Amino acid sequence: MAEKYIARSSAIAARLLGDEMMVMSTADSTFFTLNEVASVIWQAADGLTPLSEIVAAKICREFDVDQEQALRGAERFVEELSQHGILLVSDKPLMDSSLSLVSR
Amino acid sequence: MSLLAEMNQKALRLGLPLSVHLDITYRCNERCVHCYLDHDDHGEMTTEEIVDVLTQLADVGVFFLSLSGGEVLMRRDFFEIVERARQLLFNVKVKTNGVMIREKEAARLRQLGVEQVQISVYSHRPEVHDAITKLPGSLKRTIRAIRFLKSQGLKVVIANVLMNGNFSDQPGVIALARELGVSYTLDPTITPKMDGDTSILALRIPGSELRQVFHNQELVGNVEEFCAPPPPPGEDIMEGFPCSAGHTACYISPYGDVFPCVQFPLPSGNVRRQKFLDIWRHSPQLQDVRSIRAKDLSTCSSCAHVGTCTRCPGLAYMEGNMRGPSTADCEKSFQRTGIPSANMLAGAYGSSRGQLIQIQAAG
Repeated sequence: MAEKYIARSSAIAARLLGDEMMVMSTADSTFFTLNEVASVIWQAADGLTPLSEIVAAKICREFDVDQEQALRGAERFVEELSQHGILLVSDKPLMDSSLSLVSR
Repeated sequence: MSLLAEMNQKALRLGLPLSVHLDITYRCNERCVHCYLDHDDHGEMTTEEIVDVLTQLADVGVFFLSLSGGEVLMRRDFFEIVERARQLLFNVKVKTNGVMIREKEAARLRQLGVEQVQISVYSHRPEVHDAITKLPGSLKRTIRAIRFLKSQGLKVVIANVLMNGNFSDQPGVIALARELGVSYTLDPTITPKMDGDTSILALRIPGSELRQVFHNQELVGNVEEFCAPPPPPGEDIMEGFPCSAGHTACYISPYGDVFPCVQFPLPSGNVRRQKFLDIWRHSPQLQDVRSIRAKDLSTCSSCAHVGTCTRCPGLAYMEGNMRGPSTADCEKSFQRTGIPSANMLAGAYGSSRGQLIQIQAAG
C-alpha cells in the first residue's frame, strides 16, 4: 500500500484547549475538535513523516493500540479532515505551506 | 449545544480566555459622529510589543482574535501583525471601514487566511453615510472594498450601527448587503465616549424605533418567540454569569491596557508592565467581574427580565455600578416585550444618565 504524507493546511485556525485541539477552516468556517489521539496525529502532520510512521511512533506506543487498527482509524480521520481542506494528503512528502505554522 | 458552545463552556471551566478583541490603533481616517474613541496616538504598542502580546495570547489558549481600531489599516505594520497572528494559528476577524482596502489589500487578507472582515456601513445613500463618517466619498470606497474582498472569496459582514440619522435607511443597507452577497448585522447601541462625554447618547434611536427593530421578522426571525414575555428564572439563571466579559473574553487597547470587554472600561492591568496570564489570573478587577452572579445584581436580580435581558455589565459600570442595571438594556427589554424592567418600575430609569464613569489607563 502506498504511503500517505499529511500536512496541516495554512487555511486553518487551531488551538489546544485542555486535552482537545480546536480546529477551524478559515475557508468554510467548519469547526472541529480533535480528541487526544487525533491531536497527536494533527501535531505530527509535518508533511514529511509517513502516516504509518506517525501511527507507529506516536499512537501505538503512547496509547497501546494495535498498529493495523490504529492505522485504519487514522486514515479515516485524515480522509475526513482532508475533505474540508484542513489536512493536505499526498503519496509524496509535502513541502512547507506558505505560512510557517506554529501549533500551540 | 453546538460544538463551539461546548468549547466555550470548557474554556469557562478551565478559566481560559477563548476570545480577545485587540484594538491596534485608535487612529482613524473617518470621524464618525457616534464614535466613542479619541483618535490621537498616545503611545501605541510597537510591532514587537504586539507580537509579544499575540505570542502570550496563543500560549494561554486564545483562539478567536478580533483586530480592530480605530482603523486597522492606519498602522503601516497591519499586515505584519495579521501575518504573525495567522502564523500563531488564531482565528482572525478584522473590523475596518474598508476605505483603504483595494485589490492588493483584499488579496493579502485572503492569502493570510483571515476568517471574516466586518465593515461598517451606515446607509446605502452616500449623503447619509458620508455625513456620519465625515469623510466625503467614504461609502463609495467602502462598497468598492467589499467588492474586492468578495471577489477574493472572503467572508464579509456589513455592520450597521443604528442611530437617529440613519434609522430609516436600514432596509436600504440590508438590500445593499444582499446585492453585494454579504452578511448583515445591526447594532442599535451607542456608547458614551471614552472621556466620559455622554453627548453622543443623544444619537440613540428612540424606544419606538427600537420596538420596530425588535418586531421586524426580517431582523429577528420569529417575532413571537423573540418578543415573548420572559419565563420565570430558574436557579441556573440566578447562579449564571451576565456575559463572557472577563470570563472567556477580554479587550486589549492599543496602549496595552486590559479590560473585561471593549464596552467595559474597567482598567484591569497593562501588558507593558505584566504578563497577560498574570493579569488574566490575578487581576483583582477581573476577579471582581467574575464573582458576579445574576442573583447578586442589585435591582436586576428581582427583574422579570433577569434571564433574558441583554444587560451589559460594561454599560452598567459606565452608569456607576457594574452590579446595577444598564438603562439602555432596560429599554431594549421593555421595547422587545412591552414589560417594564424592575429598574423602570423603581423609577430610577434615566436618573443615572450623566453619571458615567470616565475611562482611565490602568494604574
